[in-house]
Order: sequence, then C-alpha cells, then structure tokens
Amino acid sequence: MTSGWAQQAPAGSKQVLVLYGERLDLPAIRAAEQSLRETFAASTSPPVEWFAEYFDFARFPAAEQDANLTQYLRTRYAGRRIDLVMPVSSLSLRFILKHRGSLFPGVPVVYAVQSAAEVNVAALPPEVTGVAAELDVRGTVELALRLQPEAEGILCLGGASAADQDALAQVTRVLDGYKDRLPVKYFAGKALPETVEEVRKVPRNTIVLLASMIRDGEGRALSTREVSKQLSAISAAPVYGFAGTMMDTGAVGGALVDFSSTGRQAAGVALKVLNGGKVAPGSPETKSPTPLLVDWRALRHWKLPLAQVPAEAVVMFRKPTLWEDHRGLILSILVVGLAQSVTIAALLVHRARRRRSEQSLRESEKKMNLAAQAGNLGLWMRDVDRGEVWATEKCRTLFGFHPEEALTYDTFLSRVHPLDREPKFQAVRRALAERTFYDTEYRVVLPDGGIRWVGATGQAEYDAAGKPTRMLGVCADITARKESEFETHELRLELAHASRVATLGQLSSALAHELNQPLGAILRNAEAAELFLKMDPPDIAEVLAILADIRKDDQRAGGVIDRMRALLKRRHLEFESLEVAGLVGEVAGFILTDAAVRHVTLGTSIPEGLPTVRGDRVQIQQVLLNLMINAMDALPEGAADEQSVVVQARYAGGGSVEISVRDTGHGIPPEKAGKLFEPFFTTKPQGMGIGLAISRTIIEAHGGKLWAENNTGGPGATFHFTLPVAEEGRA
Amino acid sequence: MKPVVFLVDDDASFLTAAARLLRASGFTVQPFATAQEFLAQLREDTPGCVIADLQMPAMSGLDLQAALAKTGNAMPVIFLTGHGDIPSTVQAMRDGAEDFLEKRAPKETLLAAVTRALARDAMERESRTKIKGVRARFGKLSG
Repeated sequence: MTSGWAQQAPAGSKQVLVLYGERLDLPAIRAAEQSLRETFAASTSPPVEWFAEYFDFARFPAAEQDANLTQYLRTRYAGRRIDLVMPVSSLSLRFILKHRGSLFPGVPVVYAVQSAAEVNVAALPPEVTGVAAELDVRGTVELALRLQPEAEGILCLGGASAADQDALAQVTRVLDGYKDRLPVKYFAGKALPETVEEVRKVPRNTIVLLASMIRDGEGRALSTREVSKQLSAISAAPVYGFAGTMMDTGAVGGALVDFSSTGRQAAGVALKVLNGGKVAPGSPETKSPTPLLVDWRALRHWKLPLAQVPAEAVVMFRKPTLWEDHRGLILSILVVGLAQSVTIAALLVHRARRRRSEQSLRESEKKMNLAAQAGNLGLWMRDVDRGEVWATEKCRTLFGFHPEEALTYDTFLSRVHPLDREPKFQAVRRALAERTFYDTEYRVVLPDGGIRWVGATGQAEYDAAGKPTRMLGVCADITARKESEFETHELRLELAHASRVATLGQLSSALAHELNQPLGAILRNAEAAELFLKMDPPDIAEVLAILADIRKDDQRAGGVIDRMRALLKRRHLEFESLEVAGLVGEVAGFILTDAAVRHVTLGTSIPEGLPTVRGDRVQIQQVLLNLMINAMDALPEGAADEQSVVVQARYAGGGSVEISVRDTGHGIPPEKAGKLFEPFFTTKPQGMGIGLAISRTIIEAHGGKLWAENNTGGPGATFHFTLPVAEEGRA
Repeated sequence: MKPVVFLVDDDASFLTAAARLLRASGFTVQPFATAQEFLAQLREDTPGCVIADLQMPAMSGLDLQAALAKTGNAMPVIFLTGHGDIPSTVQAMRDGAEDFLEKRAPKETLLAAVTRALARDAMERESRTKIKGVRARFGKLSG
C-alpha cells in the first residue's frame, strides 16, 4: 500500500522532503516551517506534496545519529519518489551533502540556512542550491557601538549545541577584528543559570551579544528566543543578537536573521527547481537579508539615543510620539467644530521638523504656538512629578490666567466650575486607567465671575514602568456652541410642552370637567323631577326647587363657555405672509432629535417658487407640529426598515397651497376614519384626542381645509391642509 | 339594616340633584361634599355602596377608594367623571372599582349600577360573616 502511494499522487504533483535540523518548537524553525508550508500549499504549478523530519541535532548530535538517521530515512522513504530534498539549517545541509548519494541519488537539493558563511558555495555539487541569510555580525556590533559609544567591553554568549558552536565561531571571527578597540569576553557552552548570573553582574557599559543558544552546557533544550527573554529581563547591560526570534524579548536588536523570509525564499527557489529551472547558489535570489531591527521600548529602557539608530534600521514597537498623539487629539477637537486643517498641517510639519532635528526647541515652541493660535486652540502640558503646568497663551486666556503666572494642576482645577470638577476628574482617571485620551466639556469660572465653556481633550505619556510622566492636551472655547445648544433645547421644550401637554391637555380636561358638572346636575335634576311628578300625589314643592336649581346650573354652564371663549380670544390671530419652506424647516428642526431617537427619517419636498401663504405663524406651526408628531406616533415601533415622515407642499390652484404630511405607518382604520377629527377621539394611550380637532379649527379659521386619507400604493396615511396664498405672493 | 348609598361630590348642585334622583328612586342616600367627611362618619357594619366623583380637590375619588379599602367596610365604589380620562380609569378598575360612569350617563345606567353594587356588597358581606363564623368556630376548636 505504501509503495502504491507515489502512483496515486495527483498527476504532475511533486514530492518534497524537508529535513529540519532542529525540533519544531524552536521559534526559528517554526517561522521557517510556516513559510515553507504556506508557499507549498499555495503552489499549483506544480502542486507540492511534502514530508517533514525534525532531527533535533541540538540534543541528538549528528555525529552520533548519522548511521541511525540514514537507515531510518532509507527505510521510511524507500517506496516514495522524492523529487526534491530541502535541508533547513546548516547541520542538516551537511548531513544531506554527506549522504545524498546513498539516500537520494540525483535528487536536487535546495537548502535554507541562517548563515551564508556556513556554506562553501564553490564546493557544492551541481544539483545543490539554496538560500542563506547573510549573517551580519558586523551590523549588530556596529549598531551596539553607535548606541553605546561609552562601552568598555563586549560579553559574547553562546550555547553548547553544534549549531550554537557554528554561530559562535562566526561571531568570533568578526569580533576578532574589534579586539584592539574593546576587550571581548566569551561565556559560551555554560549552564543557563551560570550564564544568567554572569549577565546579571556585568557592568552597565558592556555590550552583551547573544550568538545562539538552543542547548546549554547541562543539556537543557532551549531556544535563543527564550534565552534572550531571560537574559534581557535581568541583564545589567543592553543585549543584542542575530536571530530574528530575539525581537520582542527585551533585547535591543541587531542585524537579525528573519527565518520566515529565508524559508519563503527557499521555498520559492525549490518551486523553480521543481519546474526545471536553475538557480545558482550565491546568486541574488539565494541571499536572504538580515535587516537591522531595533526595539523602541528597549531603547527607552536603557536610555539609548534614538537619534543614533542608523537611518536604514527599522524601529519596532514604537509608541506614538508626542506629536503623533497630538494629531489624534486635534482630530477629536474637530468635533468641537473649530478651524482645524491649518493646525494639523502645522503640527505635522512641526513633527517632521522635530524628527529631523531636536536642536531648535525654542523655535518649535513658537511654531506650535502659532499653529495652536491658528486653530484657536490652547495647548498645555503637565509634568506629573513636579506638578508644573506649561500652557500656551491662548490656553491661559481661556482659563483667565496672566501670561506670567506660574501654573500648577491645582490652579487649573480651581478655575473649573465646582459642579464640573468631579466629572472632569473621572474622565482623566478613566483615560489614565485605560491609557486612552479623555474628552470632556466643563465650565470655567473666570476671575471676574464670568462663565466660559471649555472643551478639552488630553492624554498621558508613560515611562517604561507604566507610570504617567506627563499629561498633555488641547482645549478650546465652546461657549458659543453650548449657548446655541441650550437655546435650541429650551425652545424645543417650550414649544413641545406648550402644544402637546399644557395647552391641549388643560384645555380639554378643564372644558370637560367644568361643563359636565352643571350638565350632569341638570340631567339628574330633570330625571328626579320626572319621578317626583309621577308620585301620587306629585311632590310639587320638590319639583319647583329642582327647576330653580336647573336654571342656576344652566347659568353656570353658560359662564364656563364665556370664560372659555375669553381664553381663546386672549391672543388674536396675527396674519402675515409666510414662506412654507421656512415654516416647515423650523418645525422639523424642533423634532429632529426626537425623530433621530426613533429612527425616523424626516424629509421635506417643497418646490422652489411656491407662493407664500397667509396665516398666523405660531398657529400654523402648531398644526404642522401636531401632524408631524402624530405621523411619528403612527409609525410601527422597532420596525426593521427605516421609517419616514415626509412633508410636501404644492400649489393646489384656486389661490391655495396644499401642505401634506405623509407617514409610512399603519394607516387609518376605516371604522375610525369618520371620527378622526371629533374632539376627544384618540387612538393613543396618552392622547387627549383634541389635537386634530383643534388643528382643523385653526386651519378652518384660516380659510383652509384639513383632511386625511390613507396612502394609495403604500403603507401609512397622509394628512393634507390648505392655506390661502398671500396677496403679495400671488402677484 | 337597610343599605345606604353614600354620595360624595364636591359639586354641591350635582350632589343635591343626584341625591334627589336616588331618593326618588327608593334608595337611602347620604350625601357628602368631601371624601374625608364620608370616611369620618363611616361605621363598620353599615351595608351599602359609594358613588364618588373622580376629580375632587384635596382627596380624589382614587384616594377615597384606597382609604376605604383599609377600613373594615370595603364597600363597592362607583366612579363618576366628567370625561373618561384613561390613566385614572385604568387605575380605578385595577383597584376593583365597581363601575365607572360619566356624570351625564342615563338614569337607567346609574340606577342599574347602584343596584348591582348593593347586591355585590350584600354578597360579600355575607361571605365575610361566614368566614368570620368559621374562624370563630375554628378558634374555639383549636383553643
């Protein structure tokens, strides 16, 4: 069955055997493995079937395993057609170079190794090629020297496995060239605990180089990544290295071998070879780069100068700088609605300049001030430890401080309105806890007692221990916006209240109660009188008393009606020429928020050039408001589709304009259509049932008509009313 | 004991008129201008029913109903109102209002409601007495 497998493989597919020199749990091997797997899996020309072996030479040295391994591979792959062999690591390349004649005669070999120095390209047989990283020991050492010019020694660490020794040998060859400048100490092939101890007590002005360590002197299986983590955590001096897996371990970095890209490149070469192509070893495509990588956090931790990092280096894990942060802050201030683009541009320019040179700080500050002024923003910065606050002139003005006044956090706080202090505190605390920026609005009490609304946003900077060191932020005057918000809010409240609750509600229940009392008494008296008259003998005295009471109650009812009339007459109608678009727009503005909350789209469709109408602005707006609120109330709650209320207007001919309010709600049930405009008829749980009755009265008083109909060809109903065209609008 | 129709309304002319009608229809009527006056004189053993205006100053019809429920004489209450105001109606019904009438409801409706309320009161009074009796006997047994 095994022997039949090769024939069953898909036509044209190629079999690749990958021989990893180490175990899969080594981060470097895992990185290479993933790249190979991804490249092979994606390949369709040819499709690739691959097998993998993990030799673990660190713990089972090749010298001892030679015979076993060749026997094993021969037996295991006897029935297979192997089209290509891929040794990953120089040890497994050496193994296959030695045994390929007996194991896989004539089969092409494509290797992936981490150091070109370990491959003698000139001596390779013709069918052997592969990818090697240019292990750049000099790159790492030069980086360390730039960052630590004061260094007085190099401590070079290595492991005990064959691969470790190979790596160390290469590092040593390069370090020999530095002997004149710096003493170099080697600490290799020792137990990990000893190595840790050595690094712990090293002087601060030492350069610690970790060559490779996948097995220690006591036989512990390790990974360079794991060792780098342990060493970096306790080391008394910065740690550098060569393996890409050392990134994000606390090490500063170096010219690092990227095992993923080596693997990917090697897989690419393998596919080319499988397709019959030729790739000469040592050609550019077989060289894998060793980029110069630096961990920004380690730089900060060791207080190494970022400016000394070579331009070609990639700085990783960099936290946004002050001005990068500021861009976010400024953007959030935009919400406040201030002029912005100038500021952002200026800050970006400033940031770019700052990156290029740090020397002209004063100049920068001036520019920053200018930028902030252009955006009408105040900038401030607070030193958490010293409690000092630096603020731009604009910022000082906002809080009512003198330009020369010394500022602290407390002096700032003393200007914040007492009622707003706690919310501001909380916002700042939350931002600190979540490491985000805060965004608050509060009142500032000026020395002259005036109140100013300030919108502020800010963020903290932290040290390596996570302690906030500085807070910085932007603030702006938002008084105008706040005032207009309040005005709108109050107007809205007033109108909504007046029309929905107060006027209508009071009117209806007062009317009902006051009229029903005398009318009820008259009715009961009349009924009683009937009974007294039917008695035998009839009780005439009682009936006379009843008749007197009835007369009295009739007068009372008349009095109610007179008072009602007086109430309605209190404000006589003021007719004026009204523009329909403006009229509708104002009312829509009042209920906009309400509509948004209810997910209702408000639309208007009012043609240009529509003649103006004649009417009382307040009353017509009450009618519109009533119809629009009714329309919203008629919409089904929680409907999946967006619901809408649309106000349309058109010239209806005959000197009148027709305004319609159309909804997409449940429509008017036929049995209720006739009662719609009757007083006290309502379909709403809270309704008084007089909105439409009053609306119709108002419209009729204007000489117009108000009616309703269900929409044809769609859900919902439309309420229409007409108003006469104003004289001057007709002309 | 003859059942009494307690009439409570702050409107003097309606109170007089309704009392007249009920008396002429053969009921024993006691009119009160306020709920407080009514509650102050109420005896525990008087059978009857209450007709109360829903909207009264100081103590409304609903307040009266709630206070009455706490006395030992929780008789049925018929509410009168100028116009059906929905939240109050719902509340009154929930609290066990016997009936809910507009002030200008036809005489027949009013009288029928009173008759019904008195019948219910008599029935409930009887079952209360029975329970009391059972309790008393049970008390004797276990004592």
